[in-house]
Amino acid sequence: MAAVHVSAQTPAAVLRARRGIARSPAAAEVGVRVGQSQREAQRHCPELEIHEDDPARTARNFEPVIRAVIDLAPRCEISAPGWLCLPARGPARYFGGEEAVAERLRDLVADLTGWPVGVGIADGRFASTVAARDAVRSGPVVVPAQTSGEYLADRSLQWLERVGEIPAEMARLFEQLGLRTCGDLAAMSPGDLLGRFGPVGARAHHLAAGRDLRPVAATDPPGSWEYQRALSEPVPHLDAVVFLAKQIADQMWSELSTRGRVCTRIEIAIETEHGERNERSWYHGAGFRAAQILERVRWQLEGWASTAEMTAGVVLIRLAATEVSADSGVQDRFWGGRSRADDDALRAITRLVGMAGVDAVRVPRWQGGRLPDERYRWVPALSTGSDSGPDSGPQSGSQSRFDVGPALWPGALPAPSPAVVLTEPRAVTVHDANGDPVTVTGRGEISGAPAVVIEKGRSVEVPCWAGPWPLEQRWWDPQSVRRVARFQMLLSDGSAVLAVVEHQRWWIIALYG
Amino acid sequence: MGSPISLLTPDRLLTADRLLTADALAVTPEVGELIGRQALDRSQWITCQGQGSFSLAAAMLSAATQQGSWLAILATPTLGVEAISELGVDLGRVVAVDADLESPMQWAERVVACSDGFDLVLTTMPTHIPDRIWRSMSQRTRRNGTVVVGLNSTGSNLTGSNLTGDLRGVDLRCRVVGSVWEGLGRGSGRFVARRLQVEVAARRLPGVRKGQLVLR
Repeated sequence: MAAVHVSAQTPAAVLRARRGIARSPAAAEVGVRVGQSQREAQRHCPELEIHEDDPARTARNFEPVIRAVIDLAPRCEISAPGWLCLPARGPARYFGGEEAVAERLRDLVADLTGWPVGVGIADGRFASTVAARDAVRSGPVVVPAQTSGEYLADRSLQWLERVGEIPAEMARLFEQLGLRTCGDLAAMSPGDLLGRFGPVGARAHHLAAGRDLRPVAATDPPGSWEYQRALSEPVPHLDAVVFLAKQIADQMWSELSTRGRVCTRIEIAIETEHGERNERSWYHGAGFRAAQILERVRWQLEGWASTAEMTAGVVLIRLAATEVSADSGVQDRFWGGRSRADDDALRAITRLVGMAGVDAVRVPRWQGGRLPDERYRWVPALSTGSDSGPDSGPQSGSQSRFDVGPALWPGALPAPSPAVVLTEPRAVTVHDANGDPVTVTGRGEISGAPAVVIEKGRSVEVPCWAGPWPLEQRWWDPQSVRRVARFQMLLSDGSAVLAVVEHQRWWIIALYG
Repeated sequence: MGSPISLLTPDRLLTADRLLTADALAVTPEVGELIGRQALDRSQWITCQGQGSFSLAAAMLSAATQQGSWLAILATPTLGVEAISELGVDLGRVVAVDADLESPMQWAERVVACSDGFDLVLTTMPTHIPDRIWRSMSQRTRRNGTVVVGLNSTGSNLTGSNLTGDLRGVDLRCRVVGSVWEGLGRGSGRFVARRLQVEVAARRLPGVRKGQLVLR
C-alpha cells in the first residue's frame, strides 16, 4: 500500500535507504521489484516515478483503511502502516465463511483507496502474511486449516526475514548450512534448533512450520503492564506528544527488559481534552523496543490527526502491553534515529561507489565460523539484495549485522583475535629442536615441539607456542570437510602468529599485528 | 538502568552531534595517557608503525566510533574485523574501501573522498608518495576535519619507507618498539593480553614520549 497519490496505472515506487520497499502494479508489470536499488529499478522502467519513504504519510493514508477494518473486526492489530492482521474466526462466522470475509475485506479496501490489496487467511500471522503477499496479484488466498506448513514448504528462507522478523544473518546462516526452504527448516527438530541457535532458531522453526498462532514463549496475563501519562495541559503538537510518551515507553521497556520480557503486542490509547479517544493495537513479532513503541505512537497520531475527529490537544496517553513473552534477544539495539555523521557517511559511501564501483566499498557482516578468515564477510555497502532487514541499511548505524553472536561457534579461539588476517596464507615449514619437520597426527598429537619456523629460506626461532587445537570443519558434508590443527606461536623476530597445519603442510594464516 | 537503549536516547544523540562539530574526537583513557592528551584533534595525520600497529591504530580510533564517528578503512584488506571489534571499534560505523597502492594518485583521491564524510580514515600508505600529491591531499583532509591514520603495508617494521621522516606535516608518529605477550607458554596456554611499548613523537613538540598500552 504505497499511499502516495499516483494512479494504479502509473509505474511508481517508494524507496527507503535507496532501495525499493513498495511499487505500484504498473511498475510490477515491467519488472520493478521490492528490494531493488533505484538504479536497477530505473533500468527496468526509465519513466518510474520515485517517492521517498515517509512513514507519517503512509500512516495518514492508511488510517481510513484501519477504520473500515475495525468496523468489521474490532480485534485487528496493526503491524505497520499497510499491514494488519485480524483473527478470522469471528468475522468468518458472521459473514458466512473465510472466503466471504476475505473478499469483503478486499472490496472494502479497494473501494476506499482504489488500490489492490492482498488478503490471506492461514494458520498464524506469518503464513497469512505470506498468503496476503501472494494475494495482491491473485485475489484472496485462503489456506485451509492445518495446511499452512505445506503452503509454506517451498518458500525461500528470505520470507522469514521479510515478514517474519527473523534476523537476516540467521536466515543466511541456515542457507549456508544447506537449508533452502521453509520446508527444510520445518523438517528439523525444533529442539535441535533451540539448542544450536537459541530462541531465534526456535522461532524461525515455529514460523516455517506455519505454527505461529501463539507466541513461542508463554505469555503473561494481560493487565499487568499498563502505563499512562496524564498531561496537565492539553498538548496540541504531535512531536510534543511523542516526546511525552517517551518517558512511559522507556519505563515500560526497561521494566519489561529487567524481567527478561518483551512486549509483542501493545495497545496505545490517546485521549484529547474534548474526550475523543483513539485506541489501536500494534503487533511486532520480535518485540517492541522503546523507540519502536514511540514510532507506533507517532504513526497512530499522524493517522488520527489526519481525520477530522481529533479536535483538541492530547491530555492522556496510555500504553498497555497486551502480549508479553520472553525476550529472545533478536532486536536491534539501536535507537532508530540517524545523526548527521550517519548522513555524511552515507553521502561519502555513495560517492565512493561512484568512483570505485559497488564491490570496492563494503561493510562487515558476521557470518560465523571458527577460523579468522571465515568469521566476517565484507559485503557491498550499497548492495541491492535483501542483505539486511528493511530497517537496517548500512547507513543506519544498526548493529543487527553482528547480533547473531560468536557464542554459537564453540571451538573458535577466544579473544584477542589476530589484527592481520592474511588474504594469502604464507607457506612455511616448522622443525623441532632436532631439525625434523613437525607433523600432526589425525588425533591431534604432534611429533615434536616446534622450535624453528622457516619461510623462504629464512629461519626464525619459536620461543613460545601453544597448540595443536584441532578443528574439523563441515564434517556433515564429505565434499567440503576440512581438517586443520591450529597453533599460536611467538617468533623470535617479535611477531605473534596464528598457524595451521592442513594435510601436513604449515601455513601462517594470521598475525597478531 | 543499564539497558542498551539508554546509550542512544535523543539526549545522547545530541551529545554525539555536538561532539562531531567540536574540534576533538574521543579516545579511551589508556590511549589518552599514551598520546598525552585526552582527545584526538581533528584534521590530524597520524602514522602507526611496528609490530602491533594495526591493533594500536584500532585502539586509538575505537572510542570515537562508539561516539558516532564513522571509520573508513582504505586499502587495508588484511585488517582483522573481529580484532578491531574486540578493541572497541563499533562495526556498525565501519566501511572498507579498496584502493590501488601502486597508484599514489588514485589512493590520494580516495583518501580525500573518504575524508569528505568520514571522521576517521585508516589507510595503508603507498611506499612512495610524490610530494605534490601528498601536499594537496593532506591539505584537503585537514580542511575536512578528518583524522587520518596511516599504516605501513604489513604491520611489521618499516624499512626505507618515507613514513619515518620524509612526510612533512604528520602530526603524530607512533611507533611500536616492543610488545610483551601474556598467556602463551611452551606448548601451553594461549595469547591472552599484550603490552605494547610505544614511542610517540608529536610534530610541534620536542622529544619522544614513551609509554605503553595494554591490549586484551
